[in-house]
Amino acid sequence: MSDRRALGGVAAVVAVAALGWAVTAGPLAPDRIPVAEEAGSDVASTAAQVTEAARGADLYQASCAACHGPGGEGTPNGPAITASGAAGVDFMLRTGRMPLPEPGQPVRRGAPAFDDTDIQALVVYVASLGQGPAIPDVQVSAASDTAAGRAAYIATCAACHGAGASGDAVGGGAVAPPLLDTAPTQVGEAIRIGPGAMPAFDPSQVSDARLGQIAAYLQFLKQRAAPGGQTVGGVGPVAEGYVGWLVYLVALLGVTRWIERHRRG
Amino acid sequence: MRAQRRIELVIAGLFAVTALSGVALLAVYILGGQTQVEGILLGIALGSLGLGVVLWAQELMDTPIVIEERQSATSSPAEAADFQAALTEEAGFTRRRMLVGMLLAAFAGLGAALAIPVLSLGPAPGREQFTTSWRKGSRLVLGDGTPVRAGDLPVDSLVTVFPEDAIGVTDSQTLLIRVPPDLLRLDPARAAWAPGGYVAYSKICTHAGCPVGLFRATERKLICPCHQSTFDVLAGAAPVFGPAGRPLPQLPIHMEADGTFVADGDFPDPVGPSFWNLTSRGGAG
Amino acid sequence: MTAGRNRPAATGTEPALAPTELDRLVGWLDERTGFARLARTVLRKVFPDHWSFLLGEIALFCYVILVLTGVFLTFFFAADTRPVTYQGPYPPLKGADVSAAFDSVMRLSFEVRAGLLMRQIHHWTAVVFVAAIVVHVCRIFFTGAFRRPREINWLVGVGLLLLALVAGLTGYSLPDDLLSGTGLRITDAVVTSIPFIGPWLAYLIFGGEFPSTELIGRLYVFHIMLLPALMIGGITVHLLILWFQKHTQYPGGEGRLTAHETNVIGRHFWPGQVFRSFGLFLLIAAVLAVLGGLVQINPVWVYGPFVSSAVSSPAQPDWYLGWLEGLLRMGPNWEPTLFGVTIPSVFGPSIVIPTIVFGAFTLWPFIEARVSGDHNDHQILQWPWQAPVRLGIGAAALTFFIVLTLAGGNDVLAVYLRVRVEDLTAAARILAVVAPIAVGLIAWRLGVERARQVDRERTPLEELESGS
Repeated sequence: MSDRRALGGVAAVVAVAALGWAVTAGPLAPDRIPVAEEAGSDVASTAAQVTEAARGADLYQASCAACHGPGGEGTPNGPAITASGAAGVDFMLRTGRMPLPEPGQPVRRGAPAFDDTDIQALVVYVASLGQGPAIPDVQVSAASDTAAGRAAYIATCAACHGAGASGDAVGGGAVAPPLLDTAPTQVGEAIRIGPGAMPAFDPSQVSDARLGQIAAYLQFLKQRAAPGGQTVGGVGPVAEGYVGWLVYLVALLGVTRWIERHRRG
Repeated sequence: MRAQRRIELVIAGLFAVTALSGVALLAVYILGGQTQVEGILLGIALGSLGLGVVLWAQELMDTPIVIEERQSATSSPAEAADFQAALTEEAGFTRRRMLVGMLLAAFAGLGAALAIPVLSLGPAPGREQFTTSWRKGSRLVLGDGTPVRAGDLPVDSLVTVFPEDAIGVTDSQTLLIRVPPDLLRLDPARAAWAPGGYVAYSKICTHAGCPVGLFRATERKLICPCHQSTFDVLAGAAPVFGPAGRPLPQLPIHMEADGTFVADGDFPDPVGPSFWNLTSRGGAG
Repeated sequence: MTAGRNRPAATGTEPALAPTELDRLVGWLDERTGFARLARTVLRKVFPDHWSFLLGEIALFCYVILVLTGVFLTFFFAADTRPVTYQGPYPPLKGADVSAAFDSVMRLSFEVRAGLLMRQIHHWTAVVFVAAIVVHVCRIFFTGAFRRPREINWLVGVGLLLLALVAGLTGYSLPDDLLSGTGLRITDAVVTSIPFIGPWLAYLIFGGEFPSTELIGRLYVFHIMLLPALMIGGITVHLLILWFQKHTQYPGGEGRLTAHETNVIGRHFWPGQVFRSFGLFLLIAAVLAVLGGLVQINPVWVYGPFVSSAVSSPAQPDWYLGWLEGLLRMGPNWEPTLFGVTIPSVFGPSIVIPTIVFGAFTLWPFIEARVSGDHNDHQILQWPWQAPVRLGIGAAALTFFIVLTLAGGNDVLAVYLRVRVEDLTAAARILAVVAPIAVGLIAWRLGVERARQVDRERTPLEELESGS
């Protein structure tokens, strides 16, 4: 009788631990939200097309002007974006951060709301509203220097995004997002424009070549930095502790209960 | 009896699995090794042996329930008395009080003498707790030795800098941050320490010493990743959230004609975690 | 009740055979040492069987696995902070300036065959080891097993828990990586915060101002020599005392045998218990081997070498120090200076509160005896509800530590809960006080209810038998 109750207690603890793990590091973890596949954008070749500019203006008035103003000058609902440049617009649209479902909603990464052609049209149009950074040319190849990328990443990015690029909260409700699923161009754009709470970095601090190396290092982290097996979210000891407890409570206590089983009668 | 025979076969099978996975493990090792496969094979080897051993005990061994009396732990009065007599009377401890006292004193002295070498493990703390490598005239350079120039830094951005002659020295790591000058709310006495909106603060948290590497550019706040102490860059890096009790010390700097930055002295306060006599610093600078 | 007891013994009464090699060896040894008499006592010792008595064995076997894997690691680890250039096969660190210690851990992880497996098993075992100790302590605490005459073993056990925590801290700091370097920095700040002696003590431990080049070598001596030696000594004493005092046993009994203060009901150590324990050891090792092979832990190549001006988020210690991290995160920013003496804000959360909590924990058997006035020997355990006040206090303490541990990971939680870190800290400050009280009261109440219910259900016959 008391044995069964104790077992129930153990089961409850196990369930809580399993839930905790699932939510923080396991299959229910929010960062598993599918992130847009992002192709490198080749804006320059299409910039001259007049029809595209008109399409961009239409899209802008329909989806953006309500908050950012008809000329990108900003409204009480949204900031001015005349200085965002092609990099800023491209980043926001390709990572699905814009447009917001409702004004005032938190800015979050998601699937992009527009297809590639529409994004290019919008980028060209908004970039024409003012002066801002161009989309950086982020080159990643098999020959990219991941060592230089790692050094720059640790010095510049790891404090907020984490050495494993798992992301972290940086206070004030701001989150440095995980970077393992971010396309190279968007990594470069973010470094140049400093979206949200993030500071921006000039080419004098982080050169264009360095952007490619950082992006290459992030790809390395995603694909080749787990010789030890499952990374349980890559957030380090917090997730490791949950896993350790889960294994203890399920496997080891289970084994112990079974071992003390005695043949009766 | 047939059931027993069947169990015996199962156990023998488990032991065979262990033997086989041992061989497989050896093969994997010779072929160059692979962590996941090694882990699984080792697990199987240990696990089936364990299962077999436990099943053996559970199914094939006769382990009847038995009962045993507990003996009292306490010694009998006679034993206790004999022990005490042996300890004190025979050795003369009770009679030679003075000698015993001196013996204890000797042990204490010897113990202290033997403990003294422990002091060799570290120097006594001195002025280095209060000072860093920053001097009047130290140029602010990046970790690779290049001097920082005004204009290299966008507004609301930051870099880690060191004194030119002490690159990488822990206690001298400093953040150079550029903010809009009109927003700064520095102590009037330090108005000159922010040429062109460039301010320099120690990068070591005054709470537990971690590098304060996180920067929320929109709010101009520095955050320590270890315990989330938050410092307001505009207000002299005063702590606004978290457990840090002191502002990050500010480095007095000025801009040279060539756009580089030079320190006008060391930090006015000790950098890093607080300690009991940190206010006792005598006129350094 | 077992059928085995009534069956004709199948193993013990076989006809005498010619002496085997084993018999001759035993005889040879016994003639010289009297070993058979001792061995007989050992093999015939009676162990009460209940699965919860194996909780301590889990911890013991984890320790054995730690020693075995740890010895392997020592053959490859270099306790040396001299700078070297990394030339190994991990591309992103090619040409990086690292310490010889970090370099050796990289070599162990990427070049030594089975090295990564051994490292990961070692680290995972450490994580599980402390969990096993904590659950074992809970069992001892809630069943009153620490009561007279077992106070000494409680003290030894508490000492072992503290040693395990220090062994964990010194161990995960050895690779000299970015994350553990951050932990050492905090350790330095904690020691430095002690009024008057702090800076001196920190300089003695760290060999000067942080970070000193001496540190890894010192941690290594602690981790592989002093702490394991102390722990082996502690474990030996722990087991010897257990052996001589015999196991406690749960109230009730087995079959028709009733547990009394003056008897032990159970099974012989040999062969059943030995086989089961050996099997437990093997199965624990199996689980940890699979875990070490399949789930990555402490990827030092991702963190990179320690660089004093760099940092990574999230920055947490291994779980068993998470409560301390939580205390530091939720601590107030008070830093008063009285008569020229500054009390650093680190001091209260990291020294004062842990000292009080662990002090009370250490002295618990004596506190309970003093408060309850119960100074009798107890060989029969209590079900947790039989001591509702203790149940409440224990539940409150566990809740306190769980809140602190969650607060220690507040940045990770904030991301997943989509709330502000600051709000979690504020919530933790309140919960650390309110939740233990609430949970403690509920547990106490449930215990009281259960005790009443059992009282009602008790038949007069049982009343008579238990002699109360």
